[in-house]
Amino acid sequence: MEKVKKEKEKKYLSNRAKIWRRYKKHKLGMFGGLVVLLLLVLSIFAPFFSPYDYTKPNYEGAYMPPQPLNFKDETGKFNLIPFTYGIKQGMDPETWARTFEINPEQKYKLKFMIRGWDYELFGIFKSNLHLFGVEKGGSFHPFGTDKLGRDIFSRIIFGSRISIFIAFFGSLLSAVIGSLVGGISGYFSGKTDLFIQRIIEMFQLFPQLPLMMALSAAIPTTWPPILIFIGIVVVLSLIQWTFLAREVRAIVLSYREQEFVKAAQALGANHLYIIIRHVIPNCLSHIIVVMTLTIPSLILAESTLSYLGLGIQPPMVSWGVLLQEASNIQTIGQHPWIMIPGAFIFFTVLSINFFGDGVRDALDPKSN
Amino acid sequence: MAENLLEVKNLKKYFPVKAGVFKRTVAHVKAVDDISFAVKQGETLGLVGESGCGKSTTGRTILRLLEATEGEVVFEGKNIMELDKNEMRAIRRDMQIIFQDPYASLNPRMTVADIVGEPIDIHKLAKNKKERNQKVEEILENVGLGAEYMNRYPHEFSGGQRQRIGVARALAVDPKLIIADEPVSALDVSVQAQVVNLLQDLQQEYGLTYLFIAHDLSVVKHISDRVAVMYLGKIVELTDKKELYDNPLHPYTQSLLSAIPEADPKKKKDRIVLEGDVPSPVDPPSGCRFHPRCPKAFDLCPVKEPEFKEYGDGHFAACHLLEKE
Amino acid sequence: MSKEALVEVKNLQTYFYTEEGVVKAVDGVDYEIYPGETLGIVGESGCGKSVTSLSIMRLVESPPGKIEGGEINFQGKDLTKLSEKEMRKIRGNDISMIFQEPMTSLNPVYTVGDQIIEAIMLHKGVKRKEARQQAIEMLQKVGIPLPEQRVDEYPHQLSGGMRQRVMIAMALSCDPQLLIADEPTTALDVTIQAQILELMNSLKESYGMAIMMITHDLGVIAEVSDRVAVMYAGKVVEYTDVDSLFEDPKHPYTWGLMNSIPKLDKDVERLEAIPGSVPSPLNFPEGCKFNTRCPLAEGKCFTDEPELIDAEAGHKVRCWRYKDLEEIKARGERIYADQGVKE
Ligand SMILES: Nc1ncnc2c1ncn2[C@@H]1O[C@H](COP(=O)(O)OP(=O)(O)OP(=O)(O)O)[C@@H](O)[C@H]1O
Ligand SMILES: Nc1ncnc2c1ncn2[C@@H]1O[C@H](COP(=O)(O)OP(=O)(O)OP(=O)(O)O)[C@@H](O)[C@H]1O
Ligand code: SF4
Ligand SMILES: [Mg+2]
Ligand SMILES: [Mg+2]
Repeated sequence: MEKVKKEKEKKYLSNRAKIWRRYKKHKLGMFGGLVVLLLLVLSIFAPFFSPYDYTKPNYEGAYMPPQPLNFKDETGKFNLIPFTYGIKQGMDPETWARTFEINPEQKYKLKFMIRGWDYELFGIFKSNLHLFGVEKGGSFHPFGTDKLGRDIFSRIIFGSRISIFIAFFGSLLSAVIGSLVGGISGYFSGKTDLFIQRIIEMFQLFPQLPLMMALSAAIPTTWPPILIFIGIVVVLSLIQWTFLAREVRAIVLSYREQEFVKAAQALGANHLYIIIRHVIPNCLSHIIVVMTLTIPSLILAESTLSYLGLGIQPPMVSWGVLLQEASNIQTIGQHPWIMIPGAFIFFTVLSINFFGDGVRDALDPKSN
Repeated sequence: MAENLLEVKNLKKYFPVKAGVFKRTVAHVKAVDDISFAVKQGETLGLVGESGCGKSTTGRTILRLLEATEGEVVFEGKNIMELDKNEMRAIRRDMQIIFQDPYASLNPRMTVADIVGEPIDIHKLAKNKKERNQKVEEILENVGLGAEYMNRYPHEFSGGQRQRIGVARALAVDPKLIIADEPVSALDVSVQAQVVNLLQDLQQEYGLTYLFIAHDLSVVKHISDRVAVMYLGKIVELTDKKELYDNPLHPYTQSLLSAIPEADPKKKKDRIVLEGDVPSPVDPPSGCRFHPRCPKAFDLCPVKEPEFKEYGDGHFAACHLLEKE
Repeated sequence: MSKEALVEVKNLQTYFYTEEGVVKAVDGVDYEIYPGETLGIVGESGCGKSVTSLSIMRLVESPPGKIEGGEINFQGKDLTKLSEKEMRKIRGNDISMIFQEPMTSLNPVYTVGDQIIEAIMLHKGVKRKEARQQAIEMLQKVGIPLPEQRVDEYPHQLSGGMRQRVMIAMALSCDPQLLIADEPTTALDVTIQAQILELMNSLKESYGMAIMMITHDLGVIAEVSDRVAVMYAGKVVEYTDVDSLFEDPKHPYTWGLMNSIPKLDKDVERLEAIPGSVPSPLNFPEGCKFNTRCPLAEGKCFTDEPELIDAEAGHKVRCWRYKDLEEIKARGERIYADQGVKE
């Protein structure tokens, strides 16, 4: 029995394989990872998953509530393929509010891989294929529409494209800058450290919001959207990196003096090798925790910028923009479904945190 | 007479003490202050002394893990203080170190195979992964750890086993000299002997030369051929271990020997209890550094520093009393 | 023994209830401490030395710790049954304790004088001025030079050896009948250790108190104890007076421990090493706790726990095969096979 176990274990497992093994055991982490992956796919192929053009207004159907998919029709008959009813618009004679009534005569079946509005994927592939939609003549707004009658579901998906990528690249960039600068500062210490610390303090001296505003105001509005997008990522990470740099510096300082670093030096390893093999892996879990905490703050920072007219501008849409549209109590009271983007942000942030926890625990050999 | 593998000549290592807003150097910790000794091919030289006397600093400066303030370290005829980066890298294969703390000296996030394989990777000693892992397995066997431990992490081992891993890592490059910096001090008493025996076996098997650093004179005496006694950055006595025990010349060595509690209740020793504490190396006492605590100090001691001289066949010491005689 | 024991510990059991399981840190410890005598407790890291002493002081953290059984008789009282209030009267007055780390056992924000004065005022009920005078006297007694000056210094201004002296001064300031010293010299240099041991021996004579000296160093044990309890894995495995212990160790563990340390006055080619390492307290073996490392272990050792029995008058041992060990020793053989490369 003991022998069999020995034989089995003899196979050399790389550290990466062991990390993956531990990650797979982390249930919440797995779940978070899958959600993050799903969101990434959704946002990369946003037009394919959106039944409607997120910019196209439909003044007839403003503030339409979410439309359910029905299996049973009014006679109680079960349909294998779900359908939506046609909508008849009306007006409440007392409040003058617009009403939407179901027209049980009209039924539109749900269809997959349907042809719909035209789009270009990544600016190259022209297509009009969409994952789902209903038969011609009908409408299907799973999350309802906004004040201009635009499909909220499609807007969320397109919004995620920008929000997730800004948050993702923003925190990645700030993590890279922060850990590099912090790492150098801590590892080489001495004068280098002193100099870098003063620079970081200068950054931190400025109040965040005005700094962010000033930097984003410097981005010319005439730039193409993609450049504006990159500009915002850079601005946000310029604000965020200093915090990480400080923390990484402190950890590196403590690891630099550890004997295993000395041991590697004694073996003839150079600085780069030591930083990559010994110092970073030990800081990584910390960096990841900080990154997962930065992502939600970046999503919010982006929405602040958008609100101030400095960030993402219509017709582009981000979760921040969507949340901004839902910032009026009265509107929310009458049309609660425009809050759905908020739920998305909440869910995303939660999943990213689970994902981060999972990765952190997987990196830690002491966790089981 | 065997050749000298390592010669240390007038080695000094001062650490700056910085203070103030501008971090100006206000003083120096004279951790190692002008020491010289040689280690012969195949022998074990013990280096003993109390905490803070500069033992580890000596070891690390020899390996250039710390840059020396002054002095030469000659290894196989080459002064390694003058070597450039690449030459130094090559010579690191010949000189290795084992650390005191078997917890801190192993990266907690690497598996045993990666820790022991690291030197092989750095010096590209294996053609491919398979060969490397085979080598790792062999080395682990040699230090008494089975190959089944390869995929484990350091925290899954006991102190003694970890120290074996540290030894395995040092052995992986096939070194000639190993500097063992208190390799057993952090271990359980009953495990210390395992590691001491292992080091002795490996020395025989591979013809290794050791510089064995410890604060425990009885362990040093057991494993070494010759012993150097350090006090406050200086070597005060250096000789054959038997001679050191039978005929200690320096008053510090004498009191050190008498201070060690021996595991024999019948033996009631005449103990020379030293007064006071070890002074700070920032501002060491004038003249002979031992004079404020020395029971035999006389008027010359605070004034003049005694020379480190030979008193009979390979027995070196630094004390004015000896010169007087 | 005609004298009456000051402390009598009987089958003490102290367990910790942790998330990973029950840690039987102390599981069957018996010994006596006589007035004016030093009892040495020796054993390796984690064998339960500190927990035994904390149990006597009733300072075991609870939860997770709990004294699960046994008696600690001190002056006719069973300490395990006293209330916290009654215990507080005993601590510091009748029994005091010094710890391994003089750094962490002194409060860094008060001067050493304040800390001793506090202790004296608390236990003796004297005025501050008088307490200060007594504190200075105590510092003088433990060999601190310029005590009038040192009394107003902070712990960080003192060296390790000085701090340990301060700790001793504080512990002795209320004339305790028992002083528990938990590895008081482990963190110190040999020359400083010699000073402290010397000091403790002379104070013992002048105060006539009993000392319980905890250490992992057989040298220290030989130096200061009258009687020794050897602990392994939460149990006392051998208990006798110091001379018989070193002359005639009866437990394979004691034997191994003695032969695995190099001696200054004897040259041996190789040390006898005990194989393996101390088992985890969560994972102690069945039967004799030493059976994973014992070269004599056989049959019964793996199934039944031996009792601590009188091998000779006044020499207790917990081993099924101590008689066989006797024979092996008589033949002059080593019992620990050569423990070199292979474990
Ligand atoms: N990086 C450093 N910067 C400043 N001072 C240092 C540094 N490293 C060591 N020292 C000082 O140099 C002196 C010698 O230290 P070293 O570590 O060599 O002592 P040691 O003999 O190895 O002691 P130990 O037995 O405690 O390991 C000490 O006073 C220590 O405080
Ligand atoms: N608060 C606690 N919670 C859980 N387990 C504990 C606690 N305190 C001690 N233990 C366990 O009890 C056992 C005995 O510990 P103890 O401190 O008595 O050892 P020791 O013999 O004093 O060792 P050392 O020589 O290292 O001081 C150990 O295994 C330890 O892990
Ligand atoms: S009882 Fe058995 S296993 Fe335990 S010490 Fe004695 S011989 Fe060894
Ligand atoms: Mg050292
Ligand atoms: Mg303890």
